[in-house]
Amino acid sequence: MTTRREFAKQFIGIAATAVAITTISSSVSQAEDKKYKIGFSQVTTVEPWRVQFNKDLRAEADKHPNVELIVADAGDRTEKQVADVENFIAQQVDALLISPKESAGLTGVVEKATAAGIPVFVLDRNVDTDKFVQWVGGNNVLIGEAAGKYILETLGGKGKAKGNIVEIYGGLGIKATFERSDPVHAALAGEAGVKFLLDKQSADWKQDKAYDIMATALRNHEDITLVYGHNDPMAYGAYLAAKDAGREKSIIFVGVDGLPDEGVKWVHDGVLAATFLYPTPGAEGLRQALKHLAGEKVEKSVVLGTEPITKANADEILKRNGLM
Amino acid sequence: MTTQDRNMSQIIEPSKTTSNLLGILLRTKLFWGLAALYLVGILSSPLTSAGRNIFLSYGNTTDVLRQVSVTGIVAIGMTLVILIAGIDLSVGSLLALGSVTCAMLLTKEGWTAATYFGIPATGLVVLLSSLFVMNFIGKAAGLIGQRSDNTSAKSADMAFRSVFMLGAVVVALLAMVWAASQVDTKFGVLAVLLVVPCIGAVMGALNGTLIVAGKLQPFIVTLAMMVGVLGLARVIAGQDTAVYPVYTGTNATINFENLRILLWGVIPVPVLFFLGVLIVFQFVTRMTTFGGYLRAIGGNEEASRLAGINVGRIKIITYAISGYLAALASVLYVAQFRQGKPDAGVGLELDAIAAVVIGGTSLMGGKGSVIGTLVGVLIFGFLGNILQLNNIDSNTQLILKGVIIILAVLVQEGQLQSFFAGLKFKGSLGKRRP
Amino acid sequence: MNVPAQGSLELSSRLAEDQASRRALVQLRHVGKRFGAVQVLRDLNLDIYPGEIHALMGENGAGKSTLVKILSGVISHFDGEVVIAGQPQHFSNPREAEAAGVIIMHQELSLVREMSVAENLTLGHEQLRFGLIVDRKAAAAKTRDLLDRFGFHLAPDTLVKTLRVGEQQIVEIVRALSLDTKLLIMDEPTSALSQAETDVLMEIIRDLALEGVAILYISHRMDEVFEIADRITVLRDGDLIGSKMAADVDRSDVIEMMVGRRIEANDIVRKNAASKENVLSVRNLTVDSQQSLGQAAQRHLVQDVSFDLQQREILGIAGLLGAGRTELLETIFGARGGKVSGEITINGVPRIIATPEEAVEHGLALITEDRKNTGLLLNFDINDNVALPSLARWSWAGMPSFKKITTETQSKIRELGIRCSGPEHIVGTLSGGNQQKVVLSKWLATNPRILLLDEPTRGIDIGAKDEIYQLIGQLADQGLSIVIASSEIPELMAVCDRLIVLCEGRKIGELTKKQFSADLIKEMSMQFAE
Repeated sequence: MTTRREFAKQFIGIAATAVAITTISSSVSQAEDKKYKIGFSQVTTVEPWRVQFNKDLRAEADKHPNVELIVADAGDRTEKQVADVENFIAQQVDALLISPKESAGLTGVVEKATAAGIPVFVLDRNVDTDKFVQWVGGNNVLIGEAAGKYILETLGGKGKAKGNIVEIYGGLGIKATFERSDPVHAALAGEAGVKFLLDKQSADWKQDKAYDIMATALRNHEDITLVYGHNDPMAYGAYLAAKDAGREKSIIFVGVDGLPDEGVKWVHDGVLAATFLYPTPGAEGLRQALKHLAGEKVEKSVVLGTEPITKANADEILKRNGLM
Repeated sequence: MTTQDRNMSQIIEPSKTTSNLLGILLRTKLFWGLAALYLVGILSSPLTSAGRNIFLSYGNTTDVLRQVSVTGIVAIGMTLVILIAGIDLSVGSLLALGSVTCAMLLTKEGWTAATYFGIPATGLVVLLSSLFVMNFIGKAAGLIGQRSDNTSAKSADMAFRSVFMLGAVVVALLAMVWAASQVDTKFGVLAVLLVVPCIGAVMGALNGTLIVAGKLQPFIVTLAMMVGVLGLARVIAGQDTAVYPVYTGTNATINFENLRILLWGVIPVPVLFFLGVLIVFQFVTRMTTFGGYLRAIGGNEEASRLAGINVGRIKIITYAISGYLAALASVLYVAQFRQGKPDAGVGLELDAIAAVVIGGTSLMGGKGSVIGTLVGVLIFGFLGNILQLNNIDSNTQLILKGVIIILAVLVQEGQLQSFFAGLKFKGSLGKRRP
Repeated sequence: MNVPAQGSLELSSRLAEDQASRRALVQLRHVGKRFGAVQVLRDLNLDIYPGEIHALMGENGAGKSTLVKILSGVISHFDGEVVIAGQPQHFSNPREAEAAGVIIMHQELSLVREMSVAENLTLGHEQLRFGLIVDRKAAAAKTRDLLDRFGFHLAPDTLVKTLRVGEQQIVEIVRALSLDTKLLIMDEPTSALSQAETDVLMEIIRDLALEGVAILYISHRMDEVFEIADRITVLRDGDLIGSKMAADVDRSDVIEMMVGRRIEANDIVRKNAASKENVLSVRNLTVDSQQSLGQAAQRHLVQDVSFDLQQREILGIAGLLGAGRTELLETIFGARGGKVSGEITINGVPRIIATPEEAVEHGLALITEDRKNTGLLLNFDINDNVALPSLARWSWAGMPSFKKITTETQSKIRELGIRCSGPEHIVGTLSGGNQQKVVLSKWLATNPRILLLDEPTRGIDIGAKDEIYQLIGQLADQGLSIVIASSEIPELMAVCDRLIVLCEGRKIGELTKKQFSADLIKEMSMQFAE
């Protein structure tokens, strides 16, 4: 039951931060007399994680009646996002939140906004300049480490771990993929009993492709202990393939992202054994912006921690999100 | 003249007999590539612990067939479109639209964007297709369409036509009422199978109508449709939803599971759909006047029009079929992957076009077959399977797929020899002119 | 074989003297070419002199195009030697040939359809401003000069694709003439031109010859050849049959050299006279051009044309290029968009025909002027082509009877004498005459009452032409009513019972067989020309 204690420890940590944040926001709400117009440039809205990101941001904005939030969707295109930001500059928003598509194409316009006197908060992916107020985002390396630790424990612990792992990669050539993968490999490096069965099989973050990869892997390997998907839909796709082959009961499925209506629900349903929260910077980004507008000093960067989600805390998270 | 004829037949006859064996080989060259690939699959396959060849196992074969079914159904629609020298880039988006509406119909009660859009579309498609079927039966039975200047014959013709018209309206209304009756609960499997493909057919027909009435390039019209329909899929899905999960037995009817099971433990249901569509359209392209017209239009559109063929109508029907099949495939997609989402069919149009071309259908139109497309689809399916079984990493897989496309097309076009000849005599390449 | 092959290089004494003083521009020595097992050109010796109009004749497959391809550098591997202006030449591509002054004007149009007339004329020879930008003004001026010089009136910025075939050919000719030319090879330059345009072209050719350009003139049209050529060289099956001074031979000599037997070219023989019954009546038919952007005003392509067609009658439509012949036929057949007014009566019933589908239903058939692009499915076999307009009728429950198709096709192959390996012969590999017979077959299979023919013998060998004429006569005798539009006046005079002459879309007059005269028809067809 060491794991549970671990979780409890981490949970206390998170709860502490939450309390701290609440106090901050309450102190902000005391100074709610001035109206703020805040622009948010979102790169795309078609991925579930981005949808959750927007939801979190809107939910936070609703808590502050003095905030008018304007959201622009760049449709996953750099040029559109540049135009969106220029539009916000023209509107003279009080603060700009941006979740950029890429650093190279958007660095210029971030500098331009700063030059126009608008405080800029960069969320999730970063840009190549320090001419902004703050960066807020998750850290995939932390997630990789947490996942590596969990997998090591699950397979028997340090030095005794044993099992065959199917790892389903996100997108090859994307940094996040390797940040989620390398720490896992590092954690399991010394374990003679652990074997990675596939060589960099990418399902492009997609449930359907992961299904096909897993279907073939099931034919090819009679003994699969654990599946690690770089996101929850891929882990779920692999689960479906295993279910169709009648082998889902003998395999442990681990995912990443922990969105309430995906990963958390699947953990709750007993499909996934665990998933690791990749928090959206939506709520925190807005809180930090308001803090800055209220005249408080803010850090240059805020790294959001991860949170392991298992059967133990899944219900609690679902309830928190109104899904139970 | 008679002596000349005899000479002619003498010239022809011997060459016919000698080319017979070669002729058969040439005509079946389509299957060589597939056979060769299959052989590679067997030889390179890993073995189970019991020493059995995994590639050859029945389960692996049904896996591949199931995997290609969705693309395969779409590719068959694409074959028809390419036969008339067209192209349909909107199939991927239509699959996305279909998957979203399908998932919504299954999981949402009451009137939603999906039902508002789907039920009228169903009415329209059922109306037109039942008119077509009745007209067809009427003609085959000799009730209508007889060329005659006789007044009584004409009025009888009119009478039959009005009866058929009325009948079609009744059928369409019945279909709409039945679909609407399921709105309050959630849609069942049959209702989904009726409504979703009809949405695709309407969008496909819109493609065709724009191409015909606007005299526009199919490439640009379907490209616009690809973009527009993607937006429509997102709008219908709603701003805050990127994915509609379908959990049969929980938020959707358990019967929907039937669309993904291994029927009698023998054949996956999606494969059954694929084979059904394949047989129907192999028949349609080979044995019907409609199929003949498709080829003729692809061969020479203007000559076909001047031969008295209603080219516009046939084009619209063809694009409607392509849309119908893309949306039908989307139902199977939702069943297989338990989700409907606006980015479901990204890149599907290119997979489908590649399969069609590998299957020997010419992008210039007029030449090709549905069976060829089956071969193209299988080549893709088995290739992916072999690479996966041999644990080739995803990037290398992409490279090999590109190479295979080029090789397959060279084989199909019979250009392989000249390609290598061209490489060998580099010096004279610049001088030779075709 | 009673052809005098041995005397092939005999020349008249006048020319011999002449040639002693001039050196041949082109000398072909033992030139031969083999494609696989087929010897398409055999040991050819021929001289072409500067300022000479040299006609090259022969049926399809005689080796004319191969010879042209060798001269113009398209074929670079051949036996023997080509000497041009004293220099042995072995062109490996058309560019080298052009550089040496050998310019070819193709029968198949080689213009870029999406470019303007001016751009086509200066293609590859663009004048650049600052060495970078194409000088459009200069190009337009140059083009206008060229077109004016040859008496053609086309706007330089007109897109080639909007021109009719004949007009495109004019541009092609002007393009060839605009280059620095020593030997000009013209491959059927007049096949799409009307009589008047042909006359202008003949003038130009004579002018060029006077300037010292050698002209190798390839044509099937006897009249033209005898009108213009100094010397006539005939090829048959890859052999040089003879090279004669034009003054020393007559038409039937040349035809005999080409065909290997004597053919009498005369009016076709008709057995049954036309009945008085009107099968088709056209009243006040007016067709406007489809308005498109950039086009100043609508113009009448056909204006107020009326005529009747009787059963078993062959009615000719004469007129220059742009007189509205094609537009008239296409409109009757419902194949044209645009504004149409007037009345069409078929068998006494007024009909509105808006699509070819309706036209076919009413027993009409249109054989278009452009066989390859609008008449045939070239990559398909004879079966498919013959069945195309009849497919619905030969079907039951949407399924065509393949047996019916094959038997119908076979009977048509027999009836029309199509030379092929069978119903599965791919149409694109047939000769022009046989292709045209396939087009006829497909329409005859629909049992039409009215046959509309537009340039029915374009690009067809003399022997095959004659067969087509006889066939048209037989069809009329069997009860069909036929309208023939043609730019070839002799053809119309040989085949038709009656003629109407169009000029600039209007009907100028009507001539009965007894009134036919080439001069009169020419005069009438130029009624409105300035």
